[in-house]
Amino acid sequence: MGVRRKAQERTAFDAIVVGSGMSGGWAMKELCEAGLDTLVLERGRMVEHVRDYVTEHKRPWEMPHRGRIPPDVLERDYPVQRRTFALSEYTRHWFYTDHRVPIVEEAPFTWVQTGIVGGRALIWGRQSYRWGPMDFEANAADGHGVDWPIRYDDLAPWYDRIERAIGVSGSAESLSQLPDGVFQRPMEMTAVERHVKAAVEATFPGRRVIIGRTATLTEPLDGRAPCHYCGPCARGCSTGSYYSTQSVALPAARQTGRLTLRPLSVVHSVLYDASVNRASGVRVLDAETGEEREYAARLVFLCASTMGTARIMLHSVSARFPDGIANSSGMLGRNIIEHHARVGARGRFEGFEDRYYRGNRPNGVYVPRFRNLDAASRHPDFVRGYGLQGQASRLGWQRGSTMPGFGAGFKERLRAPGEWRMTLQAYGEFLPRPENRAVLDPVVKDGWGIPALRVSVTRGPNEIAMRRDMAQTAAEMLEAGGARDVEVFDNPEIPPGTANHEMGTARMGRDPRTSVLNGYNQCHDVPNLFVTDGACMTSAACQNPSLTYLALTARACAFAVDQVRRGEL
Amino acid sequence: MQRRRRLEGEFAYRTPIPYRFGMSHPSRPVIDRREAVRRVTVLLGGALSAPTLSGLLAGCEGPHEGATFVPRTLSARELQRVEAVAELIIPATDTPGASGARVHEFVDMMLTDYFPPRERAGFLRQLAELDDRARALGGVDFDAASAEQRIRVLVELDDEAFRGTNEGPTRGQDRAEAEDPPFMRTMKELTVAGYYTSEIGQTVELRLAPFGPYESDIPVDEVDRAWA
Repeated sequence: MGVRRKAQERTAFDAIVVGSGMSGGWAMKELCEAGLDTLVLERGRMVEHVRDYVTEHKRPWEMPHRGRIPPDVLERDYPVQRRTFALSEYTRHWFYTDHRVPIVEEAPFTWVQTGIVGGRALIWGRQSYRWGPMDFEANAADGHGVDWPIRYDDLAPWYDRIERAIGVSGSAESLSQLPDGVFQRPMEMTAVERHVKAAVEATFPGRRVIIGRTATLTEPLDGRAPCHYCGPCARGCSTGSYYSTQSVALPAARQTGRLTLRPLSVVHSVLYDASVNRASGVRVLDAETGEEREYAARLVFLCASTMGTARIMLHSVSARFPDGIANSSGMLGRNIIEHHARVGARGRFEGFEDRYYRGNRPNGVYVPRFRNLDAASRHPDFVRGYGLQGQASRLGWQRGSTMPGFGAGFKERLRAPGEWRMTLQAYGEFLPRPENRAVLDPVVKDGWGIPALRVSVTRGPNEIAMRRDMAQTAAEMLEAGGARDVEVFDNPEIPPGTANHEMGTARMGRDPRTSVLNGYNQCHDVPNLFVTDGACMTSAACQNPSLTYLALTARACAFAVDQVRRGEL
Repeated sequence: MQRRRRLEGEFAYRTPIPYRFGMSHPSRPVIDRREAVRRVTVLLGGALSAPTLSGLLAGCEGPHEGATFVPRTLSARELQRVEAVAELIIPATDTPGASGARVHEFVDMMLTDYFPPRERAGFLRQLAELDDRARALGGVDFDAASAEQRIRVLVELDDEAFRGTNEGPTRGQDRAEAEDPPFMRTMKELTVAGYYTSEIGQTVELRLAPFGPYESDIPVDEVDRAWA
């Protein structure tokens, strides 16, 4: 498209994208397809689709420890990341060990850090929900945080675009708080899930139990096969049945001939040219040799994750920006939000002993938010709301370890499926507060000598009040479905970040004095610097955020490309 | 309204919760290093939970047996005893039992790589104490006891371990011993984990869910066994 500058201007690339995960992967696709020569820098190693999914379809007996990492190894190598479910003997090759990528937990905080091309988009949970109009209006309505500079209608066409391209299966439900999208055929519910759905919807007006919306194919799409229901997606999927950088974005970007992908490239900082008030490029350390290189570009997209992008920006200091590039507001690294979870209920069900299922559905059921939607659903103790995710299935052989008896009869009993259990777990919105922040630690450095983040994030009174309600409603919905021995769980010591939905360190906003990014994910202070990962989020809503990152990334890329074409950038 | 019981931390390990969507897991708090039994249950309840995460395609790879097994923790005699006890817990019937699935090798791996030294020592002491039990019942060591006597020993131990109380062991004089979980709890968890994560356990005794379309609701008699 002729945007490449003349050689003497030293612009080697039209665009640099830092990170190759959820948002970086999509940025590489959009920018390459728009005709920009794009350099993608990824700290981790290369992971090629199919070839490098080395544990895919491995059975437990093929693994040294049957799939679990021994506790002393967890203690030694993963004291922080051991808190995430995604880490196992089958997936540990995707992760850095903690000591290479340390964080300083002023208050306990989990930061999951992969060391691979594709990032957490390879191991994500795939739940894909649009945010609703009220989510973009929430801050303005109740005064927490700052107002989003965009509304649902600004993003709706970009949600459409993303869903068409990545493939999302789900059911249309006509809910204002959870807009329908472009869906493939929904997955189906088990017998107990259907039973609980009917009971909950009859007992509690306004509550719905729907099948999860997931970026897992139920129909073929662009050469990708529908899910074969093997189960453990996070090992990689050679049929490309769930969205990942590898399954969709990377092949699309490569096909354009515009992509330069450099794994093992640790971005040290963004370079700033005060004479033109532009990001001029990035400084990079070779992950293996430590050798320093610089790359120049007309556009810089930071997609290094909520915490990773904040760290790079805080570390990019200049006379104009002594506290981090584009940080004239002082908001960089602040307002960390997430989804507080690990609270809910479970119970057992009788009367369905003759029902079973075949296949491992990588999806569950979802109870969309039902609190504080309107005056009638207003809760006296907290603002915002939560959704619940869960599933009903039958116990397997694992129950044998606590079963009395032994011998042939014991073995025979374990041949049959066990009783039905259903669990509902809530994911709650977390309010933005400036004191929940990350700064560069003055002492601790990562494996490449770059300062580690010192993180302090704590739950506030709204979150704590919400948790009581989350456990209560989870239990009462199971009970409405006839569950027996309902038990509630609340694991308050599981720290923020463990849900892997951290957001907000470079929030979007209308006012450059109180936000880092404008309505197009463009830095207020530095117009050719864009941030489209979770750092940009102004509020957390309660839906899993990745679909929104993708939509925001697509929209920001289109804007940036348009600006380049107009000669503005 | 039914009674709701608030969960203790340990319950989180006790019930397999096959959460595999969303990026978080409701019930896997930081692992308590102290309790070996929990370790085993983590093995049971986390990534291997039924039905989802254990699901794997049917029939694709060959056997991996080969060289003679060399235990890293157990002596030859202890290994043999573990094999014998495991086979009593899950015997060969119309399918191979624990011995055929080489559960004793799994137990040696677990003792070596999962059990902290104190709990490893406790397990080995309890294993040796099978002799005391056998002598009390039949006058000979466990290894010399008849099949019937061995079963009587295990019945006794199983009753003690699973009497429906969470008060812990009912025997034990010194403090260290009192802290050990009952032998049959540990041994049964190890045996169940080792057997049902083995190739025999998953493909001969139970069934691997086949690749293909998901069927959310089928009559249970359509499949002759539980999914592994």
